[in-house]
Amino acid sequence: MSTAELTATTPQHDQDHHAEGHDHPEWLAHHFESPQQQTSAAKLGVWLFLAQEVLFFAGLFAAYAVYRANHPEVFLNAHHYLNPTLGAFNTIVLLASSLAVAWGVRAAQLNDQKTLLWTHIFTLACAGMFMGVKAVEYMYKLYEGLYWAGRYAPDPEVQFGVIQHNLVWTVFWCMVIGVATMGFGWKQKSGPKPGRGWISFSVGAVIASAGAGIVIANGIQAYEVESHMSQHVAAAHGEAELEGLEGIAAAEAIDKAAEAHPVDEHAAEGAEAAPEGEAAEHAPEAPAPAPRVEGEVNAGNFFSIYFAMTGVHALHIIGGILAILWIVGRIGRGDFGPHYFDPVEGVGLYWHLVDLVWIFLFPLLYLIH
Amino acid sequence: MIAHTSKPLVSGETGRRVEIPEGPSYLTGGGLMSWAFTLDHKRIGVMYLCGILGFFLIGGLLAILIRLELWNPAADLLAFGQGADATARAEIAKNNFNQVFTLHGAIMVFLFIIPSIPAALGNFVVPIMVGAKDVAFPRLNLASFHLYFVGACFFIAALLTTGLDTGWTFYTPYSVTTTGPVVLATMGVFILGFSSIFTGLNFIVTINTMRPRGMTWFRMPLFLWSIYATSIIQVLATPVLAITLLLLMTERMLGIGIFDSARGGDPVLFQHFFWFYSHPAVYIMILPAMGVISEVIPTFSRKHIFGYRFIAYSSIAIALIGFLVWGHHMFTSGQSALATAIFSFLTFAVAIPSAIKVFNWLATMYKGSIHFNTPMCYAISFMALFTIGGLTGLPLGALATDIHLHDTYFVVAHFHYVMMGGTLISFLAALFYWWPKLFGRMYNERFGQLSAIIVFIGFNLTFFTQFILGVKGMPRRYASYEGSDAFPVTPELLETFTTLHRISTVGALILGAGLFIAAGTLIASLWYGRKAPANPWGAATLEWKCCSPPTQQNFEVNPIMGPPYVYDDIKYDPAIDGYYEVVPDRTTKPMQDPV
Ligand code: HEM
Ligand SMILES: [Cu+2]
Repeated sequence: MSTAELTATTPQHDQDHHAEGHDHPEWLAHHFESPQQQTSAAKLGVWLFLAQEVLFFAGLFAAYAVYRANHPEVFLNAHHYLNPTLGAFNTIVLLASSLAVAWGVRAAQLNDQKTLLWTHIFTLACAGMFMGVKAVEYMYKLYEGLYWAGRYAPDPEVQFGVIQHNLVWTVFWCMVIGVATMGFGWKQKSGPKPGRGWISFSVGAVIASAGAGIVIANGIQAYEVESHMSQHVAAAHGEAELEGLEGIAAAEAIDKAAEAHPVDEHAAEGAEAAPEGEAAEHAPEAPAPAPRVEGEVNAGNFFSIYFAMTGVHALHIIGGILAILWIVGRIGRGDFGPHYFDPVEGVGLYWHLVDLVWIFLFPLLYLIH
Repeated sequence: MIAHTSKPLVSGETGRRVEIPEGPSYLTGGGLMSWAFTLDHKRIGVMYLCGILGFFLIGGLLAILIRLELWNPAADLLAFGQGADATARAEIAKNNFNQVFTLHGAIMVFLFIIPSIPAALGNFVVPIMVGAKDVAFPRLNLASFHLYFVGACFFIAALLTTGLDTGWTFYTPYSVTTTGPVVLATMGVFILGFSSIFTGLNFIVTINTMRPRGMTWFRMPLFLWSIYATSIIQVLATPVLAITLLLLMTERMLGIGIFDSARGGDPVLFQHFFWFYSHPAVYIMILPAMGVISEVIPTFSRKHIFGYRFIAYSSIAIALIGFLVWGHHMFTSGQSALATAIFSFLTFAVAIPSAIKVFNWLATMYKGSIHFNTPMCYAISFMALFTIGGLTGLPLGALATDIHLHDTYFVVAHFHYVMMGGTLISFLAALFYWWPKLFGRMYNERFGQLSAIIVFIGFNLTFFTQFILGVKGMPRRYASYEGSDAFPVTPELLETFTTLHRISTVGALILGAGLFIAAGTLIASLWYGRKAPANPWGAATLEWKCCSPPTQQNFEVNPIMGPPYVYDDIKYDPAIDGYYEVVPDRTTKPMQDPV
């Protein structure tokens, strides 16, 4: 074997060893030989993690593709339900946050601590706002009965008064708690643990901007929803009556018709499959009989995919918020500078990926025509 | 720390013995907590080892139950005497049988085989092989072990509440409608998946960025190549399983309809997703095993590995092509004829790199000076069994024959030959190979060799019969074979089935006995074994260049590495009954690269 000079350490080597040990900076983990090695390990690690994330989401996108290929009509019909303005708003929010994160990395390289800190707090605020908007979207869906396939039971006569009322209180509490936490953090940051102070401040910022997101989204939604929803319901019913079976955009109406006919074999199956027995409740208002072609296929299928994809994405946003809070804490402690900013870069890359996923989700879900 | 390398090696040093500094073992010191929250890759590896061996025992006992139930044609044993009349008892037995084989399969796959070589032994060996103090991300490594622990708890919960009867494959629509604890178990698999991803990620980064000076890609021990290939699959395939199981859970709990044809979903989509992970997963199981064999064979043949680059590239080829063949599990599930043909072709293609490896190992042994130590006995056993397992994959990959053989005992035999005859046997080879390094004790060779022989005999009795059973039409996952309207069995056939099943059951008991001897040999060594020298086998990779067991830092000085399979400078020392290395004379003998 021609390896290795595993010769025992001579005294001279010991000295070298110690000399190196001394300029081993605090942020360099003991098992790495050099900062370069640590940085390349961190980089590769993050990229592999992102590759893993991509494949995780790929499963959802594949499910989307299969579902859409099998039932294009359901997806076409879906554009009645989602509000592209809200989606676009959130897209812009996320793009802005991505910009901020990238800017933050640059600031770390330039040792501009202030920019480094505030870009990250801005990012967190954007994330909070995104979640606020998403929350409103979800709330409206659930109030309208636009659940996933297993529970799908749209109710066109839904009263939005209740939901508005609830939202007012949610916003109120978001603002109170958010601003209070921010204030608390602001005071704490001049104490012995500035990192923690900045974390509290940022948590407050997330909550407060979630509140702001709710206000904005609710504004947009309230402005559009009345006209939009009534239009679409009318249209759906109209087409169903006009085109009967062929009315592709009217999946929902067909669905109702079938559910209203307990004699129909498929409908009976449907009632069984839906645990709530929605079919039975709706039975009295039976419109025109329309035999079911596709079993239980309805707009609920679209919402299954919608909730699965946006839900998993939202979980990733929450993960991102936690990671960025950790970064903010370390920025506050003064951990980063031109010599060491691997974690800032890593979390930043993750955040870009989460944004990127949204960039795909937005057209696939909101812009179907 | 690499300072000493600057000292030139002068020819006068030829023949100087390389001393290996002794130090306190990584095993000493610290209480339970220092183990549970250790960042030391060696301790994490040892904890993984305890975990997987525990589950191997549970899974093995369940297997014995399966075999005993099949002793008689009727479903009887697993009723445990309950049930009013014979039919009621048979029903109970059949239900229990479904649960037993499900748990057996799921435990063996997710809790034993997948983490066996990479997470347990790999964790111990990989960083030492690259001369590092630890893996790149020690905390992630610990997280991986903790996730394994939590995932295992979910499984135990499913085991205790019982009723999981979907098979380890969780196929929809059955897994959506059955009453068993599917969510609990799939949650467990989901968590275990991340444990596996973290391990793989760590190994890729460790191998990529932490190799020692002198260790170019083509001077890496082949074990590292195979772990690298495995890790690629772990990182890229496992997330697909994760999202699939997440969708399955929501399907079950909320009825989102993605896999439910009644709601416009597609149950076959589940199979696609599942096998997109699970076919590559069979390579997560076999690639590390191949890596072990690539270490053991040259060491005990005292010969440079033959076709180093071919073996290295084959690992990568297997990892990549392995992503494209999942459809061969669904030849009969209704995929398009074109897809079927393509998947069949690719399946044949993926067999080629496996065969390349087998031929290279054989060529390595050819004219070698073979030492039949226990690891070598297991390695030779591996070659025989894995070859049978691989070759019987071909009739399953061929369209015409698979229609007949699909879902019969032929498939069961095939995958046991590769998974048990391949991975498990190789795991045992690895365990016997690295045991002296892990715990610093030598075991009794005679008992070790005996266990290898008994395991080999028991294994073939158990599973070769199953090939014949399968060809004769015995379906898998059946508790009884006495015949029914749906599964008519003539009296002659019944007799054949009974004989073969009984041989198989006897074989399983012999196999079990062999494994107990192996376990006893190893455990006894901890008390009675003599102290292991640093290099008991005369191997040339880095893990034999630190003391046995290693110190917490592995190496005092960061090592430098040359080609890994050159044995000229390794000399035997009868005083320690082990080997030592002499410093080579670089002036007359330049470093060689592998061929
Ligand atoms: C040499 C190359 C191999 C080929 C050509 C091959 C081919 C196949 C085919 C075509 C099937 C599907 C049979 C059916 O369900 O009808 C199959 C099943 C299986 N193979 Fe392989 N295989 C190979 C290697 C391996 C290896 C290395 C492993 C594991 C370490 C493995 C594990 C399995 C398992 C677990 C199944 C059954 C899955 C189930 O249905 O539960 N195979 N193999
Ligand atoms: Cu396969």
